[in-house]
Amino acid sequence: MNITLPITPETVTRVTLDNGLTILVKDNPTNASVTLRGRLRAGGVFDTPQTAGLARLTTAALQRGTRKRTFQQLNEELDRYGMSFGIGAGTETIGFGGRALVEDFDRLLDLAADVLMHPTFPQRQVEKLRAEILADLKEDDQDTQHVAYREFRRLCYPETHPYHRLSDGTIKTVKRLTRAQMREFHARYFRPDLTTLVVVGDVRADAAIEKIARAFGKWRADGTPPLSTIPSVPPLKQMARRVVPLDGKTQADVVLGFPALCRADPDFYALSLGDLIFGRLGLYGRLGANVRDEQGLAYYVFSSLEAGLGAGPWSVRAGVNPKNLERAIESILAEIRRFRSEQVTQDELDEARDFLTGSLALRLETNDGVAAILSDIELFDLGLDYLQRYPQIIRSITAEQILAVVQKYAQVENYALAIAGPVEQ
Amino acid sequence: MSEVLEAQFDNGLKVLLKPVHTAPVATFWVWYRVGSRNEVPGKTGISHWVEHMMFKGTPTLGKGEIMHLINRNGGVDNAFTSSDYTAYFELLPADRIDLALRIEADRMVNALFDPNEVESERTVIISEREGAENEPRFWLGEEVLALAFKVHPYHHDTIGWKTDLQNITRDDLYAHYRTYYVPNNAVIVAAGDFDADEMLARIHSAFGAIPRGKDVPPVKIVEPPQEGERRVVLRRPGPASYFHAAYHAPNATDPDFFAVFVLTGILSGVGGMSFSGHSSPGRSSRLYRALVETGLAVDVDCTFRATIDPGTLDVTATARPGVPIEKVERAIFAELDKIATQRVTQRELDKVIKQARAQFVYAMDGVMNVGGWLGQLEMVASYKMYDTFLENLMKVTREDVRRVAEKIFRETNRTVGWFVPTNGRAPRARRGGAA
Repeated sequence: MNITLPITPETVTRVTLDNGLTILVKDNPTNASVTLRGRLRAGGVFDTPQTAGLARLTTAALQRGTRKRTFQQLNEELDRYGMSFGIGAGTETIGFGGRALVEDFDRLLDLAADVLMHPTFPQRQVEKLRAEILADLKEDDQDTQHVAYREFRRLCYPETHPYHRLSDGTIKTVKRLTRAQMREFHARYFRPDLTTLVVVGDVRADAAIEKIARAFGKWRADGTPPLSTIPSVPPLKQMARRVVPLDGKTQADVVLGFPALCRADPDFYALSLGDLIFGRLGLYGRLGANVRDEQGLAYYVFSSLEAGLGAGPWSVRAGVNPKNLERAIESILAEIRRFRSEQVTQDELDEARDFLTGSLALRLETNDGVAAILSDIELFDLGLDYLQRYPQIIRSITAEQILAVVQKYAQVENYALAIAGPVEQ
Repeated sequence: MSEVLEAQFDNGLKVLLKPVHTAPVATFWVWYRVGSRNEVPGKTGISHWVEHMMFKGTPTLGKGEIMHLINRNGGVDNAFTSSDYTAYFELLPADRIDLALRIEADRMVNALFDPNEVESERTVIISEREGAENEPRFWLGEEVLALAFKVHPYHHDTIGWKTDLQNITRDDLYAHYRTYYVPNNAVIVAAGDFDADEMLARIHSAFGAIPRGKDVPPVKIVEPPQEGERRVVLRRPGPASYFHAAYHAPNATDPDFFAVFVLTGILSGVGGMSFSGHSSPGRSSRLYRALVETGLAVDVDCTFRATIDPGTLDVTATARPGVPIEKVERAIFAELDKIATQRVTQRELDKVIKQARAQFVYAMDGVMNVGGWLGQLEMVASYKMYDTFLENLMKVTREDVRRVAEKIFRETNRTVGWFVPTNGRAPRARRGGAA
């Protein structure tokens, strides 16, 4: 189908300020609001086993007080104008985002710049935040889905790999993190030349860039930026299974999978299509048709491919009653075996291709949607003509290619499997 | 939103159309006036289960085919059940929207309810419930709700009691479907890139010939006024202490609805105005300042939903580790007493209006939200409420807020629940049989 693409080299303005800050703007006059979205190339990847959780705590603390605003003033300003702003750290990027009515866009930019550039880490606020994060970690420790995924990552990646752990940290490490470490983390990694800012909304590109330059122009960083490198991952050499018994639960949550690939890998598109067919399209793809629709074993069972700057995992997740646990796992493995042994059908391939190309219109409908795609285009260096090339990329993937990448990444014997819930070890 | 086209066919089916030409997409919704509110003891959860069966096949569209067909056309679809309604929606490239009409017209009358599919779905629904049971807040919410309503069906959650899910039969489900899935009990909402008159004609040709059904049984149950505070203390394994208080509150058509909306906004911010639940943090709100900033709780929230019959205003909190739940309760009650005795400031009132105005604009970014809003308001009151929503909010005075707070936050009007975590290995399932 023909749609007018909102993202092309002609319709999006991209500039880099002399301090290295990259800005992308897409003007959309149909809604009287502006979406701001940004990314910094830093995160939990820089944490050590001893400082696990530092990126997360530091990032969350930015909103607890700045040179110009106390925590209370910041909250009051956001609420008073009906704006939102939030920031959080993942493993390889720190993301932030906000929204305001057009009339308040300057205010949102000023606040965002203040938070990113001038946090003061006030002691009382940091301690309060630490207590909240520690309470979250305690809740996470009894959340079956969270525990299963966390243990899966431990099994899937060697201890020295940054994907071995989530960026959350542990109760032990978070208790020990100091404000000095937080200040140092901020000084080292919150740099304009590691940051991308995306603006989508009812604002002209030149005006938006001028406003951003005013708000962020004085942001400076010395020397060359510290760049993270995510090491490659060896395939699993054996099956690794871990069970975490948790009291007071009815359902067991399961994560089963493999280390896979990064976004830049030439195999990415073939495996993405495979993932859609295997555990996403329709009601959770082939997995859903078997485990949910045929056997009634689980309310949710799906696959997901997390391709980031490094080789993220390809995994299957499901929630099942403990008495059906082994049957569900066996069914998932049987589907993997089948997926490895024969090509997907023409019908399945057509559906996956048509979905990806056809649903572009949906993904580009809202300001948030356009901003999310622009942000990915920049992070993964896809180019502003990416969406123009996209249908051709998707249509060129064949059933043979999908089979080859599935055989390469999904091993039936060597997988990582984590289970959390009312089960014995 | 003045340009909504409203129509009603001879079979009683109501249609609301809102053209939006900002992007080449369209959304199509069918809203049925049935939910857990229409359920009787022994059959709880049946409305939600019927919703699941609507994806399990008709003579022309096999099990699971609907979602594949929608994906094949670059779209997404889903459904949900609440206490007051069941809704089905599709979001598609605008030139494919006829597919949604075909699917919805078909399953309004032709869903099969194959006995084998009913059985395999039974365990899926039970699995959905068991997933929720892993969350302490679910147990607490279910207990509080059951205690707050003695006779009204808001007594039970839409998922239903587990024993009912074990006992409901294929014939029960089919009878429920035949009773409530009739054009005279449904409202179609479409929003997006289409011409309203053409769309109306296409909807008429897809749905116009479906025969009108019998009038659906009215829900006449009225919850009697609460005569005294009710309490429940739940002891189960868990990571924290949780607090939940439910107060009986007005329904969507009550003249005090807007004053209560503002009251909720002042207590915890105007979040979730967008249909997809984009919420504002509300960290300058009264409850956040009194509970989280003081270090008593790690989170606190106040929620109030628009419902057909009078529902509840709920205040929930998670105690900070080491803080006794009694202390959290005292601080919450102190805030509620304060707002019931002293007028809020004009600044607080203005803040809520501005938040609501912003949330309205955000909610209009995307046709899904437009369709969701129109339909939801039509189910509980009237879609016309949308046009005057902000206007009505602005009429609320400081004294109105105090007055409704005084009326709602009475000791005799509240049901209080505590979740107190137990240590060690406790029994795993205290209700609904062993897991």
